[in-house]
Amino acid sequence: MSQQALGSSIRRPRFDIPVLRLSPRVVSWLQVGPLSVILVVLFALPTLLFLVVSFFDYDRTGLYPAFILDNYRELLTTPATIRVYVSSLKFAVIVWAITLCLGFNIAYFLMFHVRNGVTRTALFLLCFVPFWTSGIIRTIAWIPFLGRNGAFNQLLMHLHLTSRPLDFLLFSDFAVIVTYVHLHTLLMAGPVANSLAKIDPALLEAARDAGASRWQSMVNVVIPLSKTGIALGSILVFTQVMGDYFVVKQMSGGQSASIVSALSTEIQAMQYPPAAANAMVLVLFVAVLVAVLMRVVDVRKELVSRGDVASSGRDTHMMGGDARPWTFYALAALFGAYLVFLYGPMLVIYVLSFQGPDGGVTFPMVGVSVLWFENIVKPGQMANIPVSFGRSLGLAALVSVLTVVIAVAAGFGFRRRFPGSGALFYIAIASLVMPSLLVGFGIGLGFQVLGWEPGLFTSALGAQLTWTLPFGLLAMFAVVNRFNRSYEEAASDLGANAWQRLIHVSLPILLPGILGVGVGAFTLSYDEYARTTLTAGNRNTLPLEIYALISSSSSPMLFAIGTVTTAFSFLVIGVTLWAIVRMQRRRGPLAGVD
Amino acid sequence: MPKRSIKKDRGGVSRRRFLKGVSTTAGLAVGSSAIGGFPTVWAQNIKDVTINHAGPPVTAIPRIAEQATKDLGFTVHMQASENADLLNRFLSQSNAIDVADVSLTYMRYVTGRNILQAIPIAKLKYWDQTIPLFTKSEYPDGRKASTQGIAPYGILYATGPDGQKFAEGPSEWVTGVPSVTNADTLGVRPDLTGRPITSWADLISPEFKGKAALQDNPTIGIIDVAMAVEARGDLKYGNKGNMTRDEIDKTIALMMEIKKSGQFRSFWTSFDQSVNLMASGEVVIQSMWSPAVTAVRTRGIPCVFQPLKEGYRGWGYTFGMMKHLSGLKLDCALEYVNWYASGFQGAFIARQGYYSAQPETAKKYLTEAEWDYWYGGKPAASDIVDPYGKVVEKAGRVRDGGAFWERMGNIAVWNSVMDEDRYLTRRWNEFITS
Repeated sequence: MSQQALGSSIRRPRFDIPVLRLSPRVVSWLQVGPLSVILVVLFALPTLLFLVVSFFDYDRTGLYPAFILDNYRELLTTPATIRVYVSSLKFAVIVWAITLCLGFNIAYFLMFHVRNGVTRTALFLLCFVPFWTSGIIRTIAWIPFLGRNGAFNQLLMHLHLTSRPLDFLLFSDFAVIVTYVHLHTLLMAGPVANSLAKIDPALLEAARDAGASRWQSMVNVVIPLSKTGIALGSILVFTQVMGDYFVVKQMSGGQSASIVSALSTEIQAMQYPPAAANAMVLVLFVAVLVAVLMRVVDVRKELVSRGDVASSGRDTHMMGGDARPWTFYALAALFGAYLVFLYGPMLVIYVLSFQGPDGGVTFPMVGVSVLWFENIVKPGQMANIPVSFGRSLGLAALVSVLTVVIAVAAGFGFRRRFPGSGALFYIAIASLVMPSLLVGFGIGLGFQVLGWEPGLFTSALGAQLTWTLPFGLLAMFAVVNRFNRSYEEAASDLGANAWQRLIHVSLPILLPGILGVGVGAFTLSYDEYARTTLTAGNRNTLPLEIYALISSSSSPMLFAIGTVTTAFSFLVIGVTLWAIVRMQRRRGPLAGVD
Repeated sequence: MPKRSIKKDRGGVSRRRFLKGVSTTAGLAVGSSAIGGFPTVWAQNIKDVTINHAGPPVTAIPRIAEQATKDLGFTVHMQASENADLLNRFLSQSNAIDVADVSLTYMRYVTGRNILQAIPIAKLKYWDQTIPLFTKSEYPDGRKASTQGIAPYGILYATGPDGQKFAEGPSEWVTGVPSVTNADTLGVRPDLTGRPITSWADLISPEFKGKAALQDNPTIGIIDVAMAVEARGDLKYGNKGNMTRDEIDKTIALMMEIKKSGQFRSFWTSFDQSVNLMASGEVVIQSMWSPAVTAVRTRGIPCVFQPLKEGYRGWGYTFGMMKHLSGLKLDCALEYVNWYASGFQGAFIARQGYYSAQPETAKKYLTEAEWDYWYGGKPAASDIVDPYGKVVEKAGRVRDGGAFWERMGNIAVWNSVMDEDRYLTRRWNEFITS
C-alpha cells in the first residue's frame, strides 16, 4: 500500500472502480492474512513441535524421540504444580479485581470527565511514560522504594505511622500484587476507554432525565455498553499474570513461584521435554479460562453485531454545562493517586540517578553527582548503552509500524464472521500465554535448523511480533468495537469507494485507538526481553544489555538511563502535543474525532 | 605459529593508557606492526574477519574485545548474555557465535550435543602456564584437589578432535581452554551479624532468621545449603556436588523446613540483586561473588568475603570454539584464544577479583602492588583500582581469604550439574513453591 497507490485510488472517478467484487469472506481472509501467516509460521508451528517434544525422553545431553507420558505424569503428580496454579490463579483474580476497579474508573474519568481531547491524550501518555524506562530498571527501584530502609518505610516512620520498618512491603505476595497492578492497570484502562468512547453522552443524559441515579445509569447503561472492553482488558490482565515469571521471582524475592518459573528452571537445565509439557498444560488451562469468559462476553460476536449506539463529538457538550459533579473530583483524586503510585518508584530512580561517585542503587545518597549520566556515553564501559539503545529504538519503531498495519487490517477482518476466525483468535490468545523463553527458543532453533543467520531484524523481529500482534489484535477489537458502522454506510451512500471510505472515514475516526495500538506495541517491543534473548543473534538490544549489566555489576548508571529516558519521553510528548494544539488552532476544532 | 615476541611491549602500552597514572615499565609503541609476523596474504585476509565472542556478563567484557581487535588485526565482537540464556543460545543460535566462555558446569550440557569442537593442545601457546588445578587436578605443592562437583580436570580433556566425549585423563585435545576461575564463600555484613562468622553452618543459623539469602539456582543453591547442613552436622554427603536421590530428598526436606521458619529474606539471581540485598541491609549473610562484596564495600558499607573453615565453592570458565568454525576463521579463533591467555584479559579480570587460569601471564600486565594485593595476599602497597579506574580498596588493606593458593587451594566442592539433575530440578521446584 504505497502512498501513491492510495492517492491515485482516491482521485479515481467513481465509475472507474474495478468491478472485481470479492465476497466478504474473502475480504476478511485477506485482511487477517498477514496476521495468520506470522502467527502460524512463527508461533503455531514451533508450538506443534514443542507438543511433539513434550512426549520425548531426555537426559542431560540429548532428546530421544519417543511417545512417553512421563513428562506429563511428573508434572501433574508433583505437589508443586497444584501449588503454582493455585497461587497464580490467586494472584490473577486479585490483580484482575483491582485493575478492573482502578482501570475502569481511570478510563471513565478520562473519557467522560476530561473535556479536552489534547488534555486526555496527554494524561494517557503520562500513564505510558514510566513504561519506557526498562522494566529491569524499574524492578530494581522497588528495593530502595519498598525495602526495609526504603523511601516508603522512611516516610511512614517520619510520619510516625509506624515505629519500625514494615517487612512485608517487599519480598512478599503484597509486593507481587502491587507490582502487577503497577504494570497491568493500563492494560485494563486502554480497552475499557475504547469501549466507553462509543457511548454517546446523550444516553447518560437520557438516563438521568428518565430519573436514573448516577449509580443506576452506571450499572444499567455504562457497564453493559463497556463489557467488550472489560472482557478484553480481563483477557490481557489474566494472560499476563498467568504467564508471568519475572515479577513473581523478583518481587517475592524468589519466595513464591509462578507456573512459568518452574518451566524456566527446566529450560536453564536444558530439560526441554518437561518444559514443553509444562507450557502445553499452561496454554490449555488459560485457553479454557478464556473460553469460559467468551461464554459471558463473546468479543468476536460483539464486533460482528452492529454498533447500536451512536457516538458523537463529546469534546464540547459533556454532562451539560460547566458545573463539575462531585464524581469528577472523586475520580480526579483517584487518577491523581494512580499517577503518584505510578511515579513513586520512578521518583526513587530520578533521585538516585544523581547518586555520588561512591553511592549505589539503594539509599543512602553518598553525595550528589552527574557522573552516572556521563558514564552512559563514556566509551569503554561495561556495557554499550547508546548503541544498544539505537538498536532497540529502531526495532521498536519497526515492530510498532508492522503491528499497527497488520493488527488494524485484522481488526477490520474480524468484523465479519469468517471460517477459521475462532481458530485464529485462540492461536492469538495462546501466543500471548505461551512462555516467551520457549517461543524464542523455538524460533531461534528454526533459524538454526534452516541455516539462516539469526538477527535483530529477522528472527528477533519475528519473535517480537508473536508478542505484539496478539496484543494489537485484542486492542483493535476494542478500537473497532467503538466504531459505528453507520458512518461507513453514510460514506458509501454518498458515493465513496472502499479506499476513500477507509482513508477519509474509518481510519480518522479510529485514529486515537490506532495510535494507542502503535504506542502500546512500541512499548512492548522496546522493553521485550524473554522472546528476544534467544533470537537476537550476536547484537544486544537495550534490555539485553541492561540485563547483562546487572548480572555483573551494580551501578546507579541504570537509574541515570531511566532518568534520561523519562526526560526524553516528556520532551517528545511535549513537542507532539504542542504541534497538535497548534494544528488544531489553525484548523479549528476537529469534529467527530475524539 | 607466528612470532609473538612483541606482545609484552604492546601490552605495556595499552595498560599504561588504561591505568592512568600508574607507572609502568617502558613499552614500545608498535600498534600497527601488531601482526608483523604474519605473511602479507594473511594480514590482508583477516582484516575482514569478525570473531563473535559470547559469554556471561562476568567475562564478556567489551573492553577486552577492543584490545584484542587492536592487537590482532581482525575484529573481535563481545556479547554478554545472562548465564541461563547463554546456555540456551549455544543450542538455538550457535551459528551466531564463534567462540564462547563456557562454564565448567555447562560443559556437561554442551559436550555431546555437537556444539563445540575440541582444541588441539599443541596449538596452545600458554598451556604450560595453566594452573595444575585445571590440568592435573592437583595443587603446586602436589596435594590432590577436591573432585566434588564438576572439577575442571574431569571435563577438560576430549577423546578426539570432534570434542564430543570427555577423556578420562590427559589427551591431545581440550574441550575448552581454562580462562577464569574463583573460590566463592559467604559474604557477611560484620557490623550486623554481631559476631564473627566462621562456618557455612551460620548461613542457616536461626540467629539470622529473615536476614539470609540463597542463590536462586538449583545447582548452586543446594550445594551452599549442603555445605551448611554438613557443617552443622545434620547430614553427611558422599559427594555434595553429585548427590544421590536419597541425599537430595533429605536436603530438600531440610531446606523446606528452613524456608518455612522464615530464614531466607530473598533468593537472588543477579549480581546486582546480591549487592543491593547486602548494601540495603535486607540481608546480612549470603553466598556471594568476590566483586559483589567489593561493590558493597566501595559504598562505604562494611562487607567481608568471609573465609570459612569448611572451605570454598569453586567455579571456572573455559574458552570454547563453536563447531562451525573452519579455515581462516578457525585460524583467527586460535590466534584469539592464545591472545586471551596471554595476560591482558587475565589482568583485567584480576582487577575485578577473579583469577586467571594462567596467573603468570596476567602478572606481566599487573603492577607489583596489584599482583601482591590480588594474588599475593599482601597488604595493598597503594590504592587498588578496578578496571574502570575507580579506587576499590585503600592502601594497606589485605584481600579477604589471603593469597591465591590459600583461597583456590581450599576448595571443598565445585559448582555442579549432578547425575540426578533431572530429579533435582523437580525437587528444587517443589522447594521454591513450598
